[in-house]
Amino acid sequence: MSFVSRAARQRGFVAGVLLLAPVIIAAVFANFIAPYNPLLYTAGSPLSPPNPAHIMGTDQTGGDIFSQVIYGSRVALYVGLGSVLLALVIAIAVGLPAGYYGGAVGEILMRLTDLVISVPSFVLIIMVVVLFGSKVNTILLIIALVSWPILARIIRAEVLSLKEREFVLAARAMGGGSLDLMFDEILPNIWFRLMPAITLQAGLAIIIEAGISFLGLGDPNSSSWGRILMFAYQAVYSGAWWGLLFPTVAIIITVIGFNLLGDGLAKAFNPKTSGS
Amino acid sequence: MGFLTYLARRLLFSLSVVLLVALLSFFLIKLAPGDPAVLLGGEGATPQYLEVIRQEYGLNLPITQQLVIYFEHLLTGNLGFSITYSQPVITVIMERLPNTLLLVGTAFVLSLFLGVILGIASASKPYSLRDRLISTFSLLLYSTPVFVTGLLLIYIFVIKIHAFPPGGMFAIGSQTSLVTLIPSVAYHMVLPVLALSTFFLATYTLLTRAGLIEAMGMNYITMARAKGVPEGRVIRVHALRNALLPIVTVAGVQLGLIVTGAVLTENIFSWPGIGTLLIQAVEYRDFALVTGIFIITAISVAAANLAADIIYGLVDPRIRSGG
Repeated sequence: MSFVSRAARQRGFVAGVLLLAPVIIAAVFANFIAPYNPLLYTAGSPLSPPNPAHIMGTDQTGGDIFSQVIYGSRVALYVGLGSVLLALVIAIAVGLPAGYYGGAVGEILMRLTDLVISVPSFVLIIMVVVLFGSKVNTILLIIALVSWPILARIIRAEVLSLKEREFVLAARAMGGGSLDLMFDEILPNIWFRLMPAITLQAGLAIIIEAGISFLGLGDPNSSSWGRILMFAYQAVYSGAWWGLLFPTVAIIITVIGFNLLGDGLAKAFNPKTSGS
Repeated sequence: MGFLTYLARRLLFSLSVVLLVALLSFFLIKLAPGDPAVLLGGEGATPQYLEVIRQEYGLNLPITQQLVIYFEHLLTGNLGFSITYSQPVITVIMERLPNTLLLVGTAFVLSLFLGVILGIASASKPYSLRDRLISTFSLLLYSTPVFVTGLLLIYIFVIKIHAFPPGGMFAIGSQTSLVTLIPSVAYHMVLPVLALSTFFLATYTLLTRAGLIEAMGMNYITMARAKGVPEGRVIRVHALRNALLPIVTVAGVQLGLIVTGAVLTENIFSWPGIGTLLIQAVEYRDFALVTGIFIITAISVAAANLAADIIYGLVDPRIRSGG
C-alpha cells in the first residue's frame, strides 16, 4: 500500500492537512489574495470594524488586518519550517554520531545537548534580536540554534536502539561504511519517530516568533501575526476585538494543524499502526 | 551510582549551565555591532563615564584579561550598573525576582495539581466522552500561545465584564498593611496565573493520561486487580507512581518554557517582575541590566532543575538505592 493512501486513512493527518491547507494557500498566493499592502498604514480609516472593504477590520492607524493576516502566514511558515529544517540539520549532525559511536564522543555530544536545553532560550533570543537586529532571518537562525537539542536527543535514542538490529548488521557485513550505515540504513528508519517532534518544533517556532513580535521586538518590515496582536493589544481598550480574534485563530489553526499532521505522519510512516 | 555521586554530577551540570550563559553574555556583547562601552554605559553616556566603564571592565585590555575581570565580578555578585535605575544591576533584579517567583510558582503548582487530576479523570475511562473532551480541550490549550490566552482573558474579564483589574500587582493604597495587601495581590494575580497555567495544565494532563494508560497495561496492574485491589486504589497507588516519573523529568525540561511564558504574561498584565524589567531594559538599551537578567534567569532555572533532579532521585528507587 502506498504511503499516500496509508496517510489518507489517518484521521489526524487528514485534519492536519485540512487545517494547514488554507494557511499554505494564503502564504503562496498572498499577493493575489491580500487586497492591500500589509505594511500600508492608511489602507482605511482607523479602527473600523469588519466591513466589505476590510473584512477583518482595520488597526488604529488604518492598516487592513485581512491583508496583514494573509501575509502573516508567510512569516509564520517561513520561520516555522525554516528554523525546524536548520535545527534538524544540526540535530542529525549531533545525534547521529552520538548514538552510532557512543562512548566518549556520544557522552560529550549529549552533555552539550543537555547544556543548550538548559539555557533560558527566550531571554537569549531577545538578547540576540536586540543586539544584532530583528531581521526575520536572524530570528529564524536563533530559534534554530536553541531548538535542535530536543530533536538530537530523539535521534540519538533511536540510533541506539537500531544500530544493533539485523538489517544494520547485515549492511555492515556487506561492507557498508559508517556513513552509509548512518544515512542509508538508520536515518530512513527513524523518520516516523522524529516526525511528531519536527512538527511540534515548527509550531513552537511559530509561537516564539509571534511572541517576539508581540513584544515589539520583531522585524518591522514583516507582517507577523504577533505584530498584529501587539497593535490589537494597544487598541483593545477601545473595544476593537477584531484585531485580537483573527490573528489568534490563524495561530491556533496553524499550530494545531502542525501537531495533528505530525501525529498522523508518524502513524502513517509506522508500519505497525498503519492499519488503524 | 550512589545518590551522592548523582547529586554531585547534577550540581556540576547546573554550574556548567551558568558558566555557559555567562560566557554567552560576554561574547554576545563583544560580538555585537557597536562599542561595548556604549552598550554597557548607555547611548547618552558622557565620555568621562565611558572611560569609567572601560576601566571597570578592562575593555582596553586583551580579551583573556577581560574574561578574568568579568568572572571576578560575577563571583562577587557584581553584574554591573544599571543606567536606567542608577543602581547596581543585582539590586534592581533582586527587587523584582520575588514577584516573578510568586507568579511562576503559583502557576506551576496549580497546573501540576489540576493537570494530574484531569489526567486521572481522563485515563480512568479511556476513549469515553469525558476522556475525549479533556483530551481535545488539552490539545487546544496546548496549541494556544500563552500571550494569546492572556489577551483573550483581558478582553473577556477586564474589558467586557470588568471582573478583574487590567494589570499591576496591587491596588494603590493597599500596601500600607498586609491585611489589605495580600487580598489585593491575590486579586491581581488571578488572570496572570490563569494565563500562565493553561499551557502547562494541558501538558501535565496529557502526560499523566499517557503515562497512566501505558501503566494500566502492565502486568503488575493486572496482578493488583486480580488480587482484588479496588480500581480507584489501583490507579492512585499502583499506576500513578510510575506515571509520575516522566512528569518530574518533563517539569524540569519545561522550566525554560515557563520563563518564556512568564516574560510574555508579565508584559501583558504589567506584572512588576523580571519579565517586564527585561523589556524595559531592552527599550532603554540598558544592556548591563539585560545581561544581568539573562544570567539570573539561568541561575534560577538551573537551581529549579537541580531541585527537580533531587526529587527525581528521591522518587526513583533505582537512583535512591544506587542501583
